[in-house]
Formats: sequence, structure tokens, C-alpha cells
Amino acid sequence: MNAAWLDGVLALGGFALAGGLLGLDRRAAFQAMLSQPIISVTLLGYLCEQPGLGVALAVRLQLLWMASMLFGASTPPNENVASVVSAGAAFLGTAWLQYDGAAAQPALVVALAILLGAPFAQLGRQLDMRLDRSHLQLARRADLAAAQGDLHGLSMVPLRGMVRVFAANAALVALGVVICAPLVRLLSIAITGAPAVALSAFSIYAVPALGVAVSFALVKRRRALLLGTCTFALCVLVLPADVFYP
Amino acid sequence: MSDAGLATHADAAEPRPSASEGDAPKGTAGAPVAVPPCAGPKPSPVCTHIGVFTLWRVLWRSFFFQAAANYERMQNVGFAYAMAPVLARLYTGEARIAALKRHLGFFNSHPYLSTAIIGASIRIEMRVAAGQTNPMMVEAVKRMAMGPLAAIGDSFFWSSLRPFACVWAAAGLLMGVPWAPLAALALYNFFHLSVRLYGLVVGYRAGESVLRSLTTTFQLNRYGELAHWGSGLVLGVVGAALTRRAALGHLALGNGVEPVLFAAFVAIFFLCIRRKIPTIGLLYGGALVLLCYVVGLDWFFPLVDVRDR
Repeated sequence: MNAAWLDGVLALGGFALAGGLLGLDRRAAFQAMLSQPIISVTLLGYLCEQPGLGVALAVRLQLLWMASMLFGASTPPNENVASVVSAGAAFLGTAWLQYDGAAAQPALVVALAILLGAPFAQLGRQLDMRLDRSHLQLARRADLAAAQGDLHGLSMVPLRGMVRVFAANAALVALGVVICAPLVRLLSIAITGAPAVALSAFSIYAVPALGVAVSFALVKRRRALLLGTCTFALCVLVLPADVFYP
Repeated sequence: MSDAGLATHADAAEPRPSASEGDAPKGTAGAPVAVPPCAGPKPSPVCTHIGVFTLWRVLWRSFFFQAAANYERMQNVGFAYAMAPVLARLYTGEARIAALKRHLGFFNSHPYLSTAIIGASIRIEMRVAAGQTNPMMVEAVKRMAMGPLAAIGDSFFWSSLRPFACVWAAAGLLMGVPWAPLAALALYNFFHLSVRLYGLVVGYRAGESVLRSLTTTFQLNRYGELAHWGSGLVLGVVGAALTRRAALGHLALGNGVEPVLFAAFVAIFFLCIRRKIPTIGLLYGGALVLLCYVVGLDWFFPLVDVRDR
């Protein structure tokens, strides 16, 4: 196994580890907002030495998955799995292209990563539902420990739950990256001409617009929406371009 | 270390329960909740006071509240796990088993604000251990408080603060501020950790009156309003930043068309979202429409390959 393959395997392991840990933060432990794409994908971009691509991807993914919230007993699409898979596909795909000597088009790579990673949000949701069902066994175990007055046994139950959540998220992310990263590389080379322009335009115009629309839909105050529209107009018409593109 | 020694040390550090904590728990409308008189085996108290170290352990365990969340009784395992150090101090034998079973009942509330209910449960369990009140009081308070606190927490943290912090981080990154996500994380977790810690303290002090104490102490609704307005404002900045980047990129259309195109896309997607069309459908639908449009356009007006620009 040569060095490039080893690097790829290590990178895959890194993304799986990130997916597992961030999956814990999403619901099972701490819930400190680390699993939000704007934090996790930006950080992964810096770690993979592709900060520009990381920022572009992080902003789009965050806006796109803003409505994915854990209200009560609801199980929304798993934005953490989708984001880490998209990030892994984009960063590994780009690194692979550079290794092959091919030029990576950032906008095209971002579009492909988002489109290929999005279905994993639904797969992640199914995974969460299965985990919730499997945790019934843990609840029975807790009942048994309580009936015996076994505090240590009771204390081990959340740890078992966290191990399951970590392993499941890590496995799904690893599967996603293994599937999507080669696809990003292949499609980046294969797609040329008008389809490449279309997908690049999709990444530059449509995805951010969809994300902003999703985020606007979360704002429950109509006047705040009006404020946002006025701010947009003001910034576009009055402020110089280099304020927004340093 | 003897239990009596622990009790003596803890006793000096703990505030005395106020007279009002002997009252029945009040619901959100202020009407007292009926609790039947004491029944069942009397607890044999190991220790009737809880030290600060035990409370810190409870706070730490509250971070794993949803580690074993399940469909049947939701966060019951997390609640019992958080209460376990307290129950270990207060009870032995059959009383401890009864207390553990009590806290493995159904529980579902916001994870950050659940520490307030935990604190109240601790206070009530101390009185149960001292034989001053009925164990059913604990369940009554939990059932009374979990719903309102879930609504407050969901409304403030999930619907207001988190979107605002994330959009703020996005705006910062787009304007070239690399530490913007860290600042957003700090802002969010300032509220998160404050609510967890303060909720536990308020619940511990107030006992059955936890809801009344919280609603007068936490002004989260006001901050939630500010967060909504802030989100609206910053989203406008994010939209402008994204449009400017598009205008300066290799797919710029020129003549100031980009902001108009962007605003049109946002309006169309917003209307579709209001009609309950799923985001993932809009994502793939938008890609398909754009592909068909550009490929069709190229059929009549051949475009330059994007890599040649």
C-alpha cells in the first residue's frame, strides 16, 4: 500500500472519527453546537488545509440545513452526517484531483459534494430512529439495574448509548465518504461544458439562495424579514464590494 | 469517611429551606396541584443534605441527558443518571430502589432547562428522605414543569439563538473574519451553560415553586425576540455577501444582474418552502431545472467551457 493510499485511509478514518464525535454532540452529549456545519465543516477545512473550500461549503451547508432542529420527540434529517459526508467528499475529492494533476473547480466540487451528500441526511434520520428504538433495550437494562439498586449498572447505560451513537454515526459517515469522494473526483473530470457551467451556477447562485430562503422561513417576525430585505438592498447598493470580498 | 461527617460538613454549606417550600406545587395558572398524604414504606435517611460536590456531579451528568433517549419514556435514563449521586447520598436499600424507579418514569423536556427540574427534584427528595413530604410530590413537579420548560427552551435555543449564532458566524466568515465561528460558539454556549447552571441552582432553591421562580428570573423571551430581529438583519448581510462574491467570480453576469437574480431565487424558494415543499426536493429540483435551462440554452447559444474562462 503506497503513501497516497495510506493518506487516504487515514483521512477516511479522520472523517469517520469526526462524524462520530460530532454525532455525539448533536444529541447524545453536550449539545454545544459543535456539530453545526458552520463550525464543523469550517474546522475540517482548516484541518484538511483547504480553508477556502471549507468556508464556501460550510456557509452553504449551514444555511441549507438550518431548519433541521431537534424539537421534542421529532427526528429531523441528520444534518451532521450530511455535512461531514459532503465535506469529506469535497476535501478528499479535491486532494485526489490535485494528486492526479487535474485542476479542481471549486464551484463544481461544492455543487457535487452537496448533491451527493444530501441523501445521507435522510439515511442519518433513519439511523437516528433505529437508535431510538435500540435504546429501549438500554431503558430495560436501566430498569433492571434500578430494581437491584445497582447505581454503577445504571451509570453505565448512558455510556453504552453514547458508544452506539458514536459507532453508528462514524460508520455511516465512513460509508458516505467512501462512496462520494471518488464520485466527486470522477464527475469533476467527466462533467464539462454546459453541465459544468450549470452546476457551478447552481453552487454559486441557487444553493445560497435556497439556504437564505430556508433561514428566512425560520424567522417568525415579518418585520424582521422586511429588515433583512432592506439590509440586503442597502449592502448591495451602498457598500463597496471589497467589504464583502476581502 | 462517615455519613454523619458528610452531613455535618454539607449542612454548614446549605441554605435552609424557606417556609414557602412546604406549600403544594403550583401549576402555571397558580392553582395548587393536589398531592395525596404520605403512603408506603418510610425512607431510612442516610443523609438529608446534599453537598456542592454532589451538585457539580449532577450538573456534569446533565450533559449526557439524551445519551439513551428512547421512544417509550424519552429522557428517563438521563434523568435517573443525573439524579443517581443524590439518591446514593439520601437513601439505602429499598428506599433507594424506590427512588430510582421513581426517576425512571417518563420524562421529556428541553435538555438545557431540565437542570431546573433536576434541582427541584433534589430539593424535594431531600424532604422525602427527611420524611417531610410524599414521594409523589417529585413526579407531580416533574410532570408540571417539563412541558412549559420544553416550550421555553425550544423557542429560545432551537428557534432563536442557534439560528442567529449560525447566521452571524456565516456573515463573519464571508467578510473574512476567520474567528467568527468561535465567537458564535462562545455566544451560544454562554447562554447554554448559564441556563444549565443557573437552572440547577434556581430549581434546587425553589423546589416545588421552580416554574414560578424560573419565569420571573429568566427573561429568555426578550432575548429570543432580539435574536429573531438579529437573524433577519444578518441574513440580509449574508445575502449581500454571497451576491457580491458571485458578482466577482468567474460566473459573473455583469450589469448588476446578480443581486436581482439572487433575490428572485430567494423569493421563489421562500414561497415554495411556505407551501411545505421539502428542502431536499427544492435542492434537486433546482439543480435539475438549472441543468435543463443551461444545457438547453447551450443548444442554441453555445457557452464557453467554464475552465476556459
